[in-house]
Amino acid sequence: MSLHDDLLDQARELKTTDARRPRQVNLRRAVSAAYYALFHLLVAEATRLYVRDNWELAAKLGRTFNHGEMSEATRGFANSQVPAALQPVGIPGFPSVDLKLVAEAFVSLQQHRHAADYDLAREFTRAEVNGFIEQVESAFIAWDRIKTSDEARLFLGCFQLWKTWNKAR
Amino acid sequence: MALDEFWRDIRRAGRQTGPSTISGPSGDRQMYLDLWLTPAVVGSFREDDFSFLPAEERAELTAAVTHFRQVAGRVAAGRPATPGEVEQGKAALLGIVRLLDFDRYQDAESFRLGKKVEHRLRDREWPPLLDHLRFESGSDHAGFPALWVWAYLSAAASDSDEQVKRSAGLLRPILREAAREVAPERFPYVSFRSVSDPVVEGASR
Repeated sequence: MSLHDDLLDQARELKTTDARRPRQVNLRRAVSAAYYALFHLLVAEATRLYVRDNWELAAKLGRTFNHGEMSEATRGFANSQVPAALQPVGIPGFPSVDLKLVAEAFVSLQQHRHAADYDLAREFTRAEVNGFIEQVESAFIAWDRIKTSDEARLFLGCFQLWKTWNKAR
Repeated sequence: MALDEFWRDIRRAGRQTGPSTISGPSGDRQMYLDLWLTPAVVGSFREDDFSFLPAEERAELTAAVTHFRQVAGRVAAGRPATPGEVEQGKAALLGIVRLLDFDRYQDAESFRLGKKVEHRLRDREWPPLLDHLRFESGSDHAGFPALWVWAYLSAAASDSDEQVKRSAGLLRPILREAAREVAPERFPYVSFRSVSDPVVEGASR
């Protein structure tokens, strides 16, 4: 199994580790694992745009992606904002419902992960974490539907080229 | 903004209805100062600031404010309020606090936006899976304007992990759409809880 699949499994396990009263440490780690599952799925897909047969090279390339740049690009897509250089858009319905779902999930889970790791005043419940895991699971399914499309490749390209592609010409 | 000021004044007044600790040469004393029992507490109220409320709710809030103003206005200057006046004042203030519902709306802006989201849902059809909503506004970790929405699922909609997931999957797009329509400049962060979850004191979110 891939790292992103394992991380999603880990999130599911952590969420149910405590049979009765879930401990905050496990719920928080579950939120973090769910976010990183989606992060690593998208990084793996973005890396595959360039490298498919050399695992070591792919791993090094994967390290060049950062949360901040990915956040900026996904936030744009979640807000239905098409990069300026790609307008007027030649892909009907771009961004699609599925792509928006993936982008929204990434932005949302990044925020929830931040709270899980740093906001000690925040309390998480099992139901809440269930909802976050469901959001990532839905994003995985939505991504699978569109991953071979032009819009998916453009989306992945934006992780590193958002600033360049978003400049008005 | 007057709405913010009114919100803060009522929250502050609500905390002052208990005893205050006064430190003096002979030690600490508990005293009821009744600083909250004055018409000035509702001085920043403007009915127009609540135009986002339906007419009936706005009228109810205005009536509660008017009632408190009348009760507080009867307390003569230069003397402490009588126990009867304090009890009347507390009841009147509680009437306002109940309508502002600080448990469900963490700040004035989330009260304004939250009410609009709820009315939008009721206009279409209140989702039966949903018991109630709670809101908070602010900036997210990246500094962007945000609206946090906690959707409390009914007991039936959250009686198992799988049921919570199904409910979340159904409700999330509905809630996000409503929040986007009401506040397009704010990213909506939607979380799901169950009405069966134990209440966590002091943790707003």
